[in-house]
Amino acid sequence: MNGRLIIVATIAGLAGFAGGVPFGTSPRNGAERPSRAPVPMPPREHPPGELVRQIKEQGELLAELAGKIDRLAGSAAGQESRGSLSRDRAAPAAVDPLPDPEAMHRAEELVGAALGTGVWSEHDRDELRGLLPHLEAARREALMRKLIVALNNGAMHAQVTGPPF
Amino acid sequence: MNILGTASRAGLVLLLAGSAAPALAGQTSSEPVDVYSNSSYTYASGSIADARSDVDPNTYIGCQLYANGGASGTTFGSCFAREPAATGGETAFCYPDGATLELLKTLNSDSYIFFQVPVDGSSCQGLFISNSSRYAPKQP
Repeated sequence: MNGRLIIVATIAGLAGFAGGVPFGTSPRNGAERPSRAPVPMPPREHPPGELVRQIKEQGELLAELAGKIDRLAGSAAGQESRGSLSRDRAAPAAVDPLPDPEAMHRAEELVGAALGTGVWSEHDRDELRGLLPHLEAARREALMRKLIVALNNGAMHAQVTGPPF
Repeated sequence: MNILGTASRAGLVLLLAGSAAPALAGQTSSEPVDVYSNSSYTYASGSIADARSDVDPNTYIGCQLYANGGASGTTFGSCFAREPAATGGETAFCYPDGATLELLKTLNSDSYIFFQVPVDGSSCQGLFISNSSRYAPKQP
């Protein structure tokens, strides 16, 4: 329905344009300078017949679009969900968590303190688990190496129920 | 006398019949957790099911994977074992990387695990995971 209104408005506008005042002149200009030579008109690129034909083509295109809009309006909910899906796809990729220097510092502090006491507690394990995802890979490996060597050679004892990491 | 003789013969027949019957079980093996060290390596082995059913509640063996979030989130893991106190109560840990990290994805709740770790290192070396009918299924 809206599409048809647009078509009518467009056709009316274009028809007014085609049948109206020549380019470069206006009733006002004409009234103000009646004695002057007429302002030269730009060459007509489209003869009236051609304009009418283009208007008709535009009308047909608009009618076709209006039909499509009417058909798609019936599945507005689906359109909405598809729209949100495409928005999701367009969303930027998840950003890798950046290594957190504070987390690294805390993890090293944690392992260092455990090395000092010779005990790796459940509290230590739980805290380390929370820190591990925030550590830069190479430094995480170095830290785990330090911890594992100490646990394996007996310098540190794991006082935990279940896995120590 | 005759009754006893008949019973003896019947018993013998039953015994023979029993011994001739085909075995109703495949090959099985028990793999309790064992941790052993020498001057170069610490070794750990055992099946997950046997660790769980061990009488010592502190016994365990296993591996785990961690993953960071993000588009190219990194994966890392660890393996761990503690043998029963009756055999020493020793522990062993290692940090899988590269191929050994990939291997962890084949682990299931009935797997047998073996790993070795250098005394001065942390990387899992010789990580071996076996999924076989020989190992007991994990019980609740």
